[in-house]
Amino acid sequence: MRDFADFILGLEADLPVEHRERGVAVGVTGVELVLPVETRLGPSGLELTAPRGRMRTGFDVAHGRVRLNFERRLAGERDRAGASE
Amino acid sequence: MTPYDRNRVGPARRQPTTAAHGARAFPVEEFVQALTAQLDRAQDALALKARTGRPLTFALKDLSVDLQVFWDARPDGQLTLRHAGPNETGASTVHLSFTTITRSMVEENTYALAMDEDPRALDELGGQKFDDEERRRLELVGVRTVGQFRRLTEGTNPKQMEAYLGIPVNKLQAALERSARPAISSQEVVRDPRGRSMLLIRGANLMGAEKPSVRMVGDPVEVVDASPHALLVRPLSHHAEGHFEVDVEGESVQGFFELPGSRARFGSSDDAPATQRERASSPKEATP
Repeated sequence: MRDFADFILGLEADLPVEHRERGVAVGVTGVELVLPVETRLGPSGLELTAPRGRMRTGFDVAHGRVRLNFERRLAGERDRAGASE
Repeated sequence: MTPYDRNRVGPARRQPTTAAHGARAFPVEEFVQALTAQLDRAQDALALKARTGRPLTFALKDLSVDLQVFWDARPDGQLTLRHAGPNETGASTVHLSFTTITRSMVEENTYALAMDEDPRALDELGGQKFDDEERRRLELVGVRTVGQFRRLTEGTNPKQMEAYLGIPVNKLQAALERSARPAISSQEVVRDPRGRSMLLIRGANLMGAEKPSVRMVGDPVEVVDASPHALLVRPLSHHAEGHFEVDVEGESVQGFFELPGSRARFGSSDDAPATQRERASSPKEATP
């Protein structure tokens, strides 16, 4: 089980990072992930992990689901937006 | 990140409970707050990543979580969540959605504690207190402080409030009456531009139509500034500690003050008696 924040950061780290220094290119502008997860509520919030095991057993927990919508931004765009707010 | 479709069910005051099969149940509000803190941490980490020189970064725009849980309601009406254990059927699906909000949206929609004219808890009113059930009913309509209680009852017929809240009208009227009395919550010593000690008294209903009168150790003192929730008064030079009394249109309330370092200040003050000044200045002169 992983902390929810670490889970999100781990997913984000695996997203494509390709870019070009100059010229025109087609790139990913947004990624939506919909994942089944095993979850557990804890005092520090939510802990979750990808479903473990392929075989059904008598001890399977009901799966939850996480939908994450990542949006690609230019570096500094967030800062500029934050400064203008 | 902030949840926009959560249910508010009152403050989380209880410890998590443990169900018979070992899983712990958490008050909904406590859980959502913890979840929001986790998302804030993730957002902060992503923002830091953007500063490391990567020209393109990903930001988390919004997200949702479906949880398989069991709901439970405690006798006091508080809702709790417990995640479904292995092989447990019949769990409910809770769908939580989070989205990014801007700072201005937060400021517009967040209840400002500093703006509450009377932030006292309802229990601080004294007299006949609201019982747990009555307090829960008040919390359900967003009343947690005396200021909110007064706003709710302002200009309304107590009978209507009784019908709406199920709280006896006499109790409401008595609480409303007590809420209008002056009260002191704290006091602190501040310095004026000349460095003289002033006493800042905080509380509620500290000013009526006219400025209140304040006595410190029986001496009337100058009220430099007054508002319903704060008074700034100028102690006399010989005041070091003791009781003070605030009189607001015939209703008075008392407190205790202590001026730190008052003895040193007392000795160096220009308006202190000559003997005191001499006593304070002698050691300085003796020092090489």
